[in-house]
Amino acid sequence: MIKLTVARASLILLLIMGTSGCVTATVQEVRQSSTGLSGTDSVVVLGRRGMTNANETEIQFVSCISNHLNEKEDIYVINEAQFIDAAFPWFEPRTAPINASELPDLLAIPALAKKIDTLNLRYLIWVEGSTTRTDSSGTLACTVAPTGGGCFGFLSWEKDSSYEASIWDIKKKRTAGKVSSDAVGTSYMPALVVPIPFIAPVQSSACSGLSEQISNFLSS
Amino acid sequence: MNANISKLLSATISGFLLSSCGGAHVEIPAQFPTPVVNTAPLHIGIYIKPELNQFIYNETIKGYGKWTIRLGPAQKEMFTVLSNGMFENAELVSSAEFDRNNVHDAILIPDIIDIQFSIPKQTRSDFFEVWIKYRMILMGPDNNLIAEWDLPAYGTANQKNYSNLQGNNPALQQAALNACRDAMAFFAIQFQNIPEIKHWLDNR
Repeated sequence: MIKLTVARASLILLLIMGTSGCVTATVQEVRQSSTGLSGTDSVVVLGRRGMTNANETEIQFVSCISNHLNEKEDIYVINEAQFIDAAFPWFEPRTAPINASELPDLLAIPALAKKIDTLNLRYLIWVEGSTTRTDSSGTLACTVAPTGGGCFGFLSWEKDSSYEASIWDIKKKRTAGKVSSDAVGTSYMPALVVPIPFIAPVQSSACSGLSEQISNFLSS
Repeated sequence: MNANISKLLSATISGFLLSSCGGAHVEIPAQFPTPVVNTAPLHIGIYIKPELNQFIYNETIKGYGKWTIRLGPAQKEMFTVLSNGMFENAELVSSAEFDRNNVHDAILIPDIIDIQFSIPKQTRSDFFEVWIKYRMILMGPDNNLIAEWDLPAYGTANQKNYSNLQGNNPALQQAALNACRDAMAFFAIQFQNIPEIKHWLDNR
């Protein structure tokens, strides 16, 4: 009876410990000018989406960064979709500025400058990059029969998240700096009757690392 | 009770199968942002042809089902919002012809002359893509043609941004909506730079 309880407890512990794979994350920063936020300033996080769509930044990743930053006390974040609508048509895939050097011309349009002023927008954060599966191996087979079913095998896959955030200072009309985040992690799924996934939270690690670094960058 | 449960179950399964199999039927929502551009001092009438108002594109892709994109119902709203942001005055008119009491400086007549789309399985990517070619006509008083030009627009949407359970509809709808937004953006930025329109504006 005791042996059975210990075995169950060990199994549960193993499951809890192993529900996520390992992730290695690195964050880098390049500063080009000083930053700071006053009480009324706001920021917006935009995903880089061009007319050509290879490696488009995921909407969920941009939302994740926005949500993380919004949780900080001193940062007010404008929702990406609301900003793109408010500044329409200047941040559509066809028209969005590629370099901060285009900011002076863009802000010379009186109607747009007035709108950006109304929004108290101080920093525009462009996020570029994506999460891709870089490697996978193993096999897993499942069978279903009238008497029951089950799976047997082992799968593993590696994901790589690579993102870079360019921070543009609207007031100074230039790039304030760049922050990048890389995360690599391997997920596993052994199956002995029941498949048990050990998922490495690669994208969410990249998101929290990049958000934290952006937050520090803006307020220092 | 059991009959109800089995009906519900079969409806759910059928719904799931329908959504996960090929094909989609979408209508773009009539919600567009007002362009933030410097307004031109013009009073423009917008004439939406009945054919444009009812525009539906149907295509059957072998092996991937039937696809329908309803663009027509949103066109009135799209061109009204667009023109309200671009011109000092803009309103829908019921005829493309100028009459004696006409107060407009010009009448804008948009039309869709071509549409194409691709699904991820065709391009081996994650993207739905929609191309729309508009033909724009701007008529002046005395019903003289001021300008006629084509407006190509392109929209894309990543299917990974939507749940598999929702089927193809949300991504295709977003790609079509993005194509309409692209048309609006192109129109808003390009309008005053079209040589014939520039010439007309300079000589007013």
